[in-house]
Amino acid sequence: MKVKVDMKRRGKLTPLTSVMLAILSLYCVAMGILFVYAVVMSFKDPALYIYPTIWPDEKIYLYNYPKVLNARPAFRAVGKVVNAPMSKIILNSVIYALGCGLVNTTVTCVSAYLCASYKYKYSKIVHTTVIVVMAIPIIGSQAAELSMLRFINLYNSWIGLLILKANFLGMYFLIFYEMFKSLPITYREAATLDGASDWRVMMSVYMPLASATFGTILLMNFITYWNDYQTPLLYAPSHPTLSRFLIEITRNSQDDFDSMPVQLTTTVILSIPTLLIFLIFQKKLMSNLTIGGIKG
Amino acid sequence: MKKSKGIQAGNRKSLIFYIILMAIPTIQFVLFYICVNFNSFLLAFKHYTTTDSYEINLTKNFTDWFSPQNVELLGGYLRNSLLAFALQLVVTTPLGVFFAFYIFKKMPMAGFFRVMLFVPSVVSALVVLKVYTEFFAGAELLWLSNGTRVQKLVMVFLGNILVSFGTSVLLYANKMSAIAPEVMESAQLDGASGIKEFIYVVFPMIYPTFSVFLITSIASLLTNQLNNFAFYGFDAQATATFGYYLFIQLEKTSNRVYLLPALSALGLMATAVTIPVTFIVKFFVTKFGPSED
Repeated sequence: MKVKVDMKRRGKLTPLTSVMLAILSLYCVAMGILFVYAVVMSFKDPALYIYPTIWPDEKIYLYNYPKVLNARPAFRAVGKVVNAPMSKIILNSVIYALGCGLVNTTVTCVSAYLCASYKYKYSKIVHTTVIVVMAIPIIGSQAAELSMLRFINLYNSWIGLLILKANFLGMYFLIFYEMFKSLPITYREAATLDGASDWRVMMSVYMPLASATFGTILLMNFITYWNDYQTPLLYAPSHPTLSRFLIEITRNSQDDFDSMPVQLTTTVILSIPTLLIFLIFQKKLMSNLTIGGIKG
Repeated sequence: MKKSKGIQAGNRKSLIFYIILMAIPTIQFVLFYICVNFNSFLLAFKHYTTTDSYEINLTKNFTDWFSPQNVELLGGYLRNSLLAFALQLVVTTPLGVFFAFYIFKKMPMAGFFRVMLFVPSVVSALVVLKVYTEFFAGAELLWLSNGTRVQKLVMVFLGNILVSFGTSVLLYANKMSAIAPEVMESAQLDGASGIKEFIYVVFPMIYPTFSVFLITSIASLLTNQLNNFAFYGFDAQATATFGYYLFIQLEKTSNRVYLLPALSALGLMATAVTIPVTFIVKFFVTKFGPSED
C-alpha cells in the first residue's frame, strides 16, 4: 500500500490544536488591545481624563504629540538635573542607535572576515576567544567598566559609548565568520591576479557579498540600541535618549508628563521607528530569526 | 565549488593589512574585557573610608554584604530572581516549544501568528509593559500599585510572559523549520501521531537550542531584572531581583564613585557562584539530553 506524504499539507484541527489556536488568538488579541489602547489614549485630552476608558472621546485631542515633541523634560545627569529639548533627545536616540549599531556591526563583520580569510594563528585565537567569552557568565563587571571609562576620561561621552560597542564579541561574530568561511576563494584569486590589494579584495569583492547579512544585523542592532535605556543611563547620563526618557518620567513625576495620555503618547513615538523598520524589512528580519537572535 | 582556504601566512603586505584592521578590536578587547575584569578584582579590594579616600582591604567589601541587614535585603532579591528563573523554566520555555510546534505544523493562521509573535521583539519591552501597566491601572485592577507582594509578582510575571512569549515561540519554530523533510516524512510513513512526532522527532532535533536556552537562563539568573523598570521605574520593592538591585546601585555611582568597589565585590561573588553552576548544568544537559539519532 502506498502512503502519500505531503509536507506542505496544513495540519488539521484537533481538540488540542483548537485550544492552542484559541490561546494564540487570545495572545494576539491581548497584544492588539495594548497597542490600540496606547494609540487611543494618546488622542485623549489629559485635562478631561478622569475615568479611563478605551473608547475614543467624541473629540480627538491632537495636542499630546506636539506637547511631547516640544517638551524640555528634566534628567538626572552627573550630580545635577538638566533639561533637554525633545529634539535633542530624539537626535541622541538616533546617534546612539545608528552610531553604535554601525560601529558594532562593522567591527564584528571586519574581524570575522579577517579571521575567516587569513590563516594566522591569531585568527584562531580570536575565534576561540569569542566562543569562550560567550560561555563564561560574568556579572557586575559594569562597576569596573565605569571605573575604566572614568580613568580614560570617556565616561559620559558619545565617544566612550561608541568605543564600548566597538567589540567583536558575541553571536554576530560567529554568523559573519561562518558566512565568510562558506564563500569561494576563487573570487579572491581572480581579484589578486588582476592586481587588487587586500583592501580592494575585502571592500569590492567580499563586503558586497556580505551586504545582506550586514544589513540584517545592522537592523537588529539598531532596534536593540533604540530600545536600550540602560547603557545610556549608566555610561552617558548627560545624553538622554527617548527610551531613557520613558523611565525618567516615572522617577521625576514631571508635571508635563504626569498624565497617562501624555505618557502613552511617548510610548507611541518611541515605537514608531522600530515598527516602521519591521513593516519595511519584515521578511528579512523574520527569516533571519533563530538562536541568538538571527542567523546569516 | 572551491571553498575559502584563507590566505597563507608569509605575505608581508597582507600581514600589515591584517594587523592594522585587527588592532582596533584587539585594543578594545584588551581594555574593556581583560583590563576591566582584572580591574574588578583591584576595585573590590579598595575600601573607601571617606567619599574620596580609600585603603586596600582584601575582605571588607565582600564581608560587608553579609551583614544581617544586607543578607535579608539580598535574600529577598535572590528569591525573586529564582522565581523568575523558575517561571522561565516551567512556563515560558515549555510554552515556547509547544506553540512553536503549532506554527511548524502550519496549523490554521500559523503565518499570521508568526508575524504577530514577532512584534514584541521589535517594540521595546519597556513600551509594551508601560502600556500594560497603564491598561490595568485604567481597568482599575490595581495589583501592580496597591497589591500584596504575591499579587505584584503575578502581574509582573504575566507581563514578562507577554513580552517574551513571542520571541521564544519563533526561535523554536525557526529551529524546527530546519528539520529535514525526509525525517518528518519517515515519521509520517511509520504512522506517528502529532504528539509522537513532537516527542520522538521534533524535540530531539531542537534539543541543542533548548539546552542553550536552559544554560543561558542559568547564566542570566543573577542579571535578570524582570523588566522591573517598566513597572516601577527606580522604585521596585516587592518584585525587585538581584539583577535589578545591582543595576540600580550602579546607576547611583554617577556622582558617588565610592560605591563602585562594594558593587564590584558583589559582582565577583555573583560570578563565582554563577560560573560553576552554569558549567555543571551545561555538563548535565549535554550528557543526558535526547539524541538527534
